[in-house]
Amino acid sequence: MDELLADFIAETREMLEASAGEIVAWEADPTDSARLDAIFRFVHTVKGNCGFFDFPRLERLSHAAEDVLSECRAGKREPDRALVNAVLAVIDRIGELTDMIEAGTPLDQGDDEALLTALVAEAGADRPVPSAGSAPLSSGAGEDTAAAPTPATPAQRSIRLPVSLLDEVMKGVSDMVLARNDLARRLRESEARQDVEAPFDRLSGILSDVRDGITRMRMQRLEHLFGSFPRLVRDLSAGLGKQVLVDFEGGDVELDREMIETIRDPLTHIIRNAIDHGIEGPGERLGSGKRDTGVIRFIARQSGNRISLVISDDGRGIDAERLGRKAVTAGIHTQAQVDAMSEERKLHLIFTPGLSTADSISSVSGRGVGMDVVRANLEKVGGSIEVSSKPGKGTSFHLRLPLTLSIIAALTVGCGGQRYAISRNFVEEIILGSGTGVEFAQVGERQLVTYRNRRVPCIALCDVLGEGNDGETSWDTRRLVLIRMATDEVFALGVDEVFDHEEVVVKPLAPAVMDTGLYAGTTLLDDGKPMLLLDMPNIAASLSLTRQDAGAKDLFADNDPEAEAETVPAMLFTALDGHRKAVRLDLLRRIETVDRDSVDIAGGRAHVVIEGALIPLAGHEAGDLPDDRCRILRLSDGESEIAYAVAEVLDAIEIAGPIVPDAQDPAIEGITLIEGRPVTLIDGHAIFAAHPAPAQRARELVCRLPGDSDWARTILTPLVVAAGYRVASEDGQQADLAILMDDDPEPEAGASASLIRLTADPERSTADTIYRYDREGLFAALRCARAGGRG
Amino acid sequence: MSELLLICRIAGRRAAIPALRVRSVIELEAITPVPRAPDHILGLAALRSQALTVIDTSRALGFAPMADVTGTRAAVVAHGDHVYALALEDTNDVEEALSDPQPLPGGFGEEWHHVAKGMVETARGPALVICVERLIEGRRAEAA
Repeated sequence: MDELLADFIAETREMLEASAGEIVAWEADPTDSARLDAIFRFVHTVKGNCGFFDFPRLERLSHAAEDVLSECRAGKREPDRALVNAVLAVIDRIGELTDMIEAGTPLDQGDDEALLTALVAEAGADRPVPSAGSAPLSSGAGEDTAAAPTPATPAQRSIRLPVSLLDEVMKGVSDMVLARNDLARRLRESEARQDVEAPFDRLSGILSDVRDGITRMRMQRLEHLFGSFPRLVRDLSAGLGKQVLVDFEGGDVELDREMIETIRDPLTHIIRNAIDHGIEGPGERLGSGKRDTGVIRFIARQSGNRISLVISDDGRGIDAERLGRKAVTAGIHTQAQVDAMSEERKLHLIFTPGLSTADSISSVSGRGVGMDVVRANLEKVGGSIEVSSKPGKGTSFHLRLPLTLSIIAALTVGCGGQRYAISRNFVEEIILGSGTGVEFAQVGERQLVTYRNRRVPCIALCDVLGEGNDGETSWDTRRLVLIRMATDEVFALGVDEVFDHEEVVVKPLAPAVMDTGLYAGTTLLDDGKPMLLLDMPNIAASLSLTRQDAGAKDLFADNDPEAEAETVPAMLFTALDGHRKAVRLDLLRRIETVDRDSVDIAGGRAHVVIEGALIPLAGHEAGDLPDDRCRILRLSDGESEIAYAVAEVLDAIEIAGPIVPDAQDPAIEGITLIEGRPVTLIDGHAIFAAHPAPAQRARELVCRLPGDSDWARTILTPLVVAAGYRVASEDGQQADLAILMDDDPEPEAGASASLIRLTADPERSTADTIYRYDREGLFAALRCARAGGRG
Repeated sequence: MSELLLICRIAGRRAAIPALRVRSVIELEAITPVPRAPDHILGLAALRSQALTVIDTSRALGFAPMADVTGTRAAVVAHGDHVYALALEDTNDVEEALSDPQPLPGGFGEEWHHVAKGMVETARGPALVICVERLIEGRRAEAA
């Protein structure tokens, strides 16, 4: 027999048993609306499941009963004895049909007409209700389920056990394991070891098997549950002419079997609602710019002893206003109350009993029982459900479920002499604080660690636990556990030691301990000592390490085009102090290699001469310049230039990651990660602000020297170059300045912008003619000419 | 009248815990501390495969914390879904109450008032009957 079918039968029977009491109570007092609601939910659930399994007879019966009960709930009909009897007869018939399905008997088109007629009969009509036994069925209505006919095809028998019994057995096995461990320790120290070693090992082996078996009894991967959804979605969406895909994440999360059973129904209801009300038809979807196929997405995560399950669709979302209006129409709230509600509160109305969002009732859903049942079922097991919705974008339901007893894979770490467990779900990597490629940086009060292209916040477990020794935390000696949260944030948790990977049974903690917000549960070490399981999501949240809107982003990641980060092009280089730094590529004009001799460092000012241009030098403060040749980055702000001395030019890069500003050092724009290593991005503004030299576009200034003389070449040329001019090489070249000896002929008009005349005879120096060894006079003239040349 | 009481010593005083509430009396061994927990919670101890929350009964009343509790006795009691070990300075026998718990004119003192059910007479003298729930809650409930 199909496993799903077996589940259906078991579930229906369970509900029948559970509702037997309700039915009797309702019969005694037909006006009891709480009973009415419970019975209504039962037939509604049966109806839904039947649609899935294709049992038309069952569906027709349950649908008819649901109709009648719905009228009663709406107050359109008074439940009287005849009606109660008719409903009871239908419920009995459902039980019989369930037996037949289990027995594998094909369901013929039996005669249910009498039952159906009785249902719709007018109130007070004194019609005899046909007993269920009058229908041609093999088994009686009141028969005990155990006496049901044996299935024709013997399938794997399954039984249902009370979970408390399983808990007890599990606890017994855990005790046995601890006793075994204790015995093993004593054996190691004892003389009798050799005699008993073989049987002891055998006992250990058996015990492990039993333990595994018990564990499997309780745990089930979520994918078992997910497995039935694609078919359900397919059938439902096909019936409505919609196209819907299902997407699962976290199917390997293991969950207590009982919990899986508990959430099966709620999830089915949510899927129905999503397909019926949420996801639009292909035409409408294309019209609003979506793909014609809708998506229902399931994301499951385990966090400590809770499972978080998000079901989201990309449909039209919930109309909160309409929910509000309906609440008013149904008399649940007054208009004033609804008006005062926040959007969120209005959305929450979806969980109110008797409120349906659909204007039309279809066979799939839309009677307003769905979500109140869902919430009731989840809250019964200590879970919770929340809804969020964006009009036109979709709806998501966030379920949180407890794990009363669960086994999780954990990493055990040491801190302050104690061991703590961290759920392995969160552990991405373990790195040594002293390892290569691990760099620490302190930004404000936050510690950062850089490792493999990532800079992440770093927190010390002992600080979190308040076990710190108040001294400086020495990060180098620690081990870092990289923690990745469900929302994809990563941070490093510094611990004293990392011990082992273990499978641990998590047990709940006393309320006073839970209130610390640090622990998700406790577990026992092999030596029988309790160990605390850290509640990483809570710890991360308390340190503000998680984004508040992370859940939303997770859900609508596909629709979020802003995720593309902008990159910053930059030039990577090694500064003279050996550190890797970068400068924005926009600032960089050229890379030069200059002789050491071209660099002049005197006092607070440093300059370098490049191609005859005198450029303020920066970057030399970091370290000593090389003796022979220097690599220079020529930076420009568009007007003036600054030469930045570096040890080595590395590469042009794209900075994709965030640039973290450093408030301490104004000379840098920030720190970022390149190839896993931190790189300081130098601040162009600060550099240019620190060198407010006049814009020196001297390289465009060309100076023509007087004639071809040794004096001009050897004495004058360096002087002119040092002043930031380039010496004209060819005769015909356009020059900004011409230097002539006093006996040279007047140059052609327009050959140069300005003119300096020199004389070899100090006696002949005038206001216009400078003695050729009058250094100051010459410099003044050069400066003056440059000012004119630039103007 | 004939209620059985576990006679013990809390903060130097003779106290009594209703014996029906006590599952067993254990000797405390290694205790796993719980950083940042309320200070009347000493930590966790194991009883077979069960983790017990160990309560410092003296601190829970607002007196000074107990000295090293290793080796001291503790009464194992259940409260809610959880099991606690109440560390006691001394445990004597189980005795029969010779009277119903009585209030005392003038009260039992500020610290005791919150947890006291009343004074009972036993064969070996009076003892203060302690309300286990209040003891577990510690002074947290008072502060709230």
